[in-house]
Amino acid sequence: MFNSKFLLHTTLFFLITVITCLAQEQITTGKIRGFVTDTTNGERIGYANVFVKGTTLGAPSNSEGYYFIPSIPAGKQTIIFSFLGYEPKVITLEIIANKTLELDVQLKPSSVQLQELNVVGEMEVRPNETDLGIQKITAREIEMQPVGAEPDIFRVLQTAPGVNTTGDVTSKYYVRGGGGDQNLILLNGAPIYNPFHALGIFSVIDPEMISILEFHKGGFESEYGGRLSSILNIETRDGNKKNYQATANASLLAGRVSVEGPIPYGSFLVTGRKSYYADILEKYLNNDGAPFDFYDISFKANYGNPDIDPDGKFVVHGFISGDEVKYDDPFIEDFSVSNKIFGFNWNKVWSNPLFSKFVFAYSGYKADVNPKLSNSKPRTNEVSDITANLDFTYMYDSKDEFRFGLQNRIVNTSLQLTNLYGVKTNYAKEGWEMSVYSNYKFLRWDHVGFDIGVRAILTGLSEKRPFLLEPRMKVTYRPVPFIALKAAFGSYSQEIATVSNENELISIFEPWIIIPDYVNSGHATHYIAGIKFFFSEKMTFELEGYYKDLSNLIDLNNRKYNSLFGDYINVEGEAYGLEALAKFQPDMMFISASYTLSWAYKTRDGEKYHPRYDTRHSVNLLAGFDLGSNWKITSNWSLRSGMPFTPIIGFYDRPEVSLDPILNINSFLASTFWDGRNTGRLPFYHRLDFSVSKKTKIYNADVTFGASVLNAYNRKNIYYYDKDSGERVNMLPVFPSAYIKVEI
Amino acid sequence: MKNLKFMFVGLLILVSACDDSFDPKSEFREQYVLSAVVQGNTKGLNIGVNAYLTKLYDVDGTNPYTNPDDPSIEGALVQILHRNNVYDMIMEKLPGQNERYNSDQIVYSTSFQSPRPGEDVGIRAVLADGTTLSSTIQLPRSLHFELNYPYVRGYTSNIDMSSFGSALTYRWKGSLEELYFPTLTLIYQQKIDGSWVTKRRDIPREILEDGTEVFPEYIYDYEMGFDYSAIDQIVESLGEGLADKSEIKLGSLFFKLTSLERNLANYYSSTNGFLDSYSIRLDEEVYTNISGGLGIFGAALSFEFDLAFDPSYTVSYGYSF
Repeated sequence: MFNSKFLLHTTLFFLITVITCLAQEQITTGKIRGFVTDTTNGERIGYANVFVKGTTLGAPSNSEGYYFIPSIPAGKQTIIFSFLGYEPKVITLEIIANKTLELDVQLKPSSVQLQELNVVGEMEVRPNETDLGIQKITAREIEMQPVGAEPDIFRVLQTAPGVNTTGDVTSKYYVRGGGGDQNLILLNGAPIYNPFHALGIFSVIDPEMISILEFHKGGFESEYGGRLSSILNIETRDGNKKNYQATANASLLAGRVSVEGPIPYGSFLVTGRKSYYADILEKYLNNDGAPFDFYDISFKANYGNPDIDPDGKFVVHGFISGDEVKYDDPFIEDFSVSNKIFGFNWNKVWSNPLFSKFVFAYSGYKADVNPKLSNSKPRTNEVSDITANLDFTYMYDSKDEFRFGLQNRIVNTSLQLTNLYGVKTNYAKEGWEMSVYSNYKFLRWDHVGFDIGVRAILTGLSEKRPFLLEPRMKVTYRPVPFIALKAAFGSYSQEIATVSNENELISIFEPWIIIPDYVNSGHATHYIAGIKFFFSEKMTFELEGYYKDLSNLIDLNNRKYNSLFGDYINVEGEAYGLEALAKFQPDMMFISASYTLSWAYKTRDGEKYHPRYDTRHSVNLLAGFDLGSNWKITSNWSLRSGMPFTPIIGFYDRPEVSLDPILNINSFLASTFWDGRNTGRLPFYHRLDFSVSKKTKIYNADVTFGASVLNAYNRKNIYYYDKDSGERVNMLPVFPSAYIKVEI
Repeated sequence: MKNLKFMFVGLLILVSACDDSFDPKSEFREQYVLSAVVQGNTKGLNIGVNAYLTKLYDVDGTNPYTNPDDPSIEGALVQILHRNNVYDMIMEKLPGQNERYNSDQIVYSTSFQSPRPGEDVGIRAVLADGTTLSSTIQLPRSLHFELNYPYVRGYTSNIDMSSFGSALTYRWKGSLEELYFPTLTLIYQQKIDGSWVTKRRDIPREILEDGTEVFPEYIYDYEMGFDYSAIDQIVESLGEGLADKSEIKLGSLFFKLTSLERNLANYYSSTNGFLDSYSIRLDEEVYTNISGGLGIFGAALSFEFDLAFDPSYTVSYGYSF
């Protein structure tokens, strides 16, 4: 495994790293560092703004709430801490040359709710931040979405320009023309393989447990790898460090409870959710009597004892989810899907400006189809993934940042199937992916930010890997304060994928496999450019264009006629588009509008076609209003081009194969003759959702009552056309729902 | 702000009024369909071919079974090409045999000198409008059989099963691309009204505990086993209810393996799938190897193997030898 090629690339990688480090200048000024936390519960606040008044010096806190500002001129300085949804805090202190001051700060939540609806980071402390394609979303923003059966983080993502879905029935999302399995979802650093409940209708992630949600739509930095299209990085809350707290929510579909509170040198959080009324889901699926049952449980405990490990924090976390569809009828198959994640993290701020994060996690996934006496076949898919990552961030006095790390994944996948002829097969594969990465951020110049990195995949999961080194680059240029020009480029690979038939609109069984040895693993190159206008602090407009070249995507070989053919083949892909996003935040109100013009293609056996998730036009209008007295109204209107479909040209009679005679003239089957793949397009999809909520105090409890209506004007959005029955099947009709939340 | 609200409401009204009609069809285009199979066994002098020629049709809606008109095409020139010979296929109307359209079945047929396994055979159909459909295939290759036990005195289940297994197993050296359909038939005679009448009975490969008989299906494997217990049960059942079991005379176990060449095998595979309750498949891909149109041209050859019965086995059931 460790051959000469491996050693050469490793040596090269570390040489680049060392040279980059040596290039740093030495500055003798003072520094401050510390953590930003919430006064009410002690939770660390990620992405808070910290800046030195009267200077261009500043930094956002990281996802752990840690901040570091170097090169502050010695003497009396005023430091301002702020974050949307919190009251700003101003502290004046004496900066001492060549010393690092420790300054932990607590921010108090603001009483004005709607200011919190914004995506984090609009008020920039780093005008030259290289953040193209990154969206940081708070739990408050998730709350803003009109609630359907359950609050859902994936529905929030789908309102972002460039993010698409194939219908109301699924939360599965597609980013900039990439497939659904090209999105990596990390929960506290551990990958989640099945992020959906109830056949994909909504996500397994309980929004109440989220602290920070970081969504990378493309051009992501070298610390992320393994997927071609996007990264969704979710950090859960630590739990209330000051008081014990219990919360209960009830929606029409499921009940949820959470308990959190302090422990010596830390805190804990336990949440659980369980379905109790599956009939709601039938409306989504047009499937009467589907006996859904699901649950999810998560826990997290953190411990930071300065006597044992100064400035260090240990975290243990876990997440378990399960979905079952079990029929009493022996002629309908049963399904079960489960996730299990257990992890240990160690975050450490070292005495020099170095921040480290160690992640060790196990993520397991199992999906099972039990055919019972039905015509379907038994199928089982299992994945076990052990992640061990060590990541470092070094902050220079010049404001530059250097990130580097070693990341390991040991993955086992097995897919057991019974084929058409009753033959059982088991495709099992194990792989160890070891990657090293480095990423240098030049932030020393006020008007230019430059981010260059490389990811080297030293050992891979699959046999045929197209690239070893994956270069990444981002640049930001602010010619004038109200305009930012940004660009990004990156090379990405993916060696584990789901295999499902794209011609199936819903398929509960989408197994993950390591790419087989006889096909190439996927590769993508992203090219992104954008411009952002800051008309005022409350009004921004951004325009992004992208081109994504995809090669060696894995797909089912639906022309596998015998064992000489492989089960999977490689197909090529291409996507490009233009995204516009405008945000307007007057007092007590939030409005955002986005438009996406995009194209996505796949090429298979020489035939170029649009995949099912290709959308030409997409519009999203999101608005929130604070009516005062804790009344809040939010609404979301979306419009997009219909999905591509394959039209019918005509019909013909084809003989059935029997034994004697082989072609049975009395057994002709009428068949459909199709036009070119996906050359037709369904009518436009559009839908209006809105919700209203009122928060009030009942005894010692904070109680929130909420109601929402999805598809308020009952648009009949077509989902598919059943050619057997000749019926048009529509998506979700007008759908009212309600919920109650009690916090003690 | 007021203007913004009006714009929003106006946009909603405009979009709500959008046409959402949907037609799952594109413009109908004429296409022709040729379905033909060369079918025979390796013992005959001649081999037969039947061909069916139809065209694409359209219906109101999407249910093709509402089509009332037989799409068969008459009067085409259909030919078989073998070695350097061209055989014209004769069009026949089989009265009332087209059950689907309650009409005569139009069949083009011919026979030609039995080709050798592995040889090329072609078909060509020229329609009145000049459209030509054609295809060439290679016949299945020759097969040789082996049995799992040397039954020198004929079939018996009285063997060492720990060494030879619990099933009468036929093996052959096949091709990965071909599809096989094995059958085993018991040929026996029964004295009825003083005369011996030859009868046949299909042997299942397995009989389950509840009595269900499991028969072979199309397989890509190169072997097929028939449980001794299944053969024994079928043999024993012949004499059930008979006062005089000597009125049964066992003939042989007739094994027949039908081999579908690559194209016909692909066609079969492409048209036999399954879905679970939640999968909504929108289209399907049916294999075709017809140039200039749709359909299938394939071949199936049968290979046969006879196995007599061990006299002691026959006598053990009280049957005549």
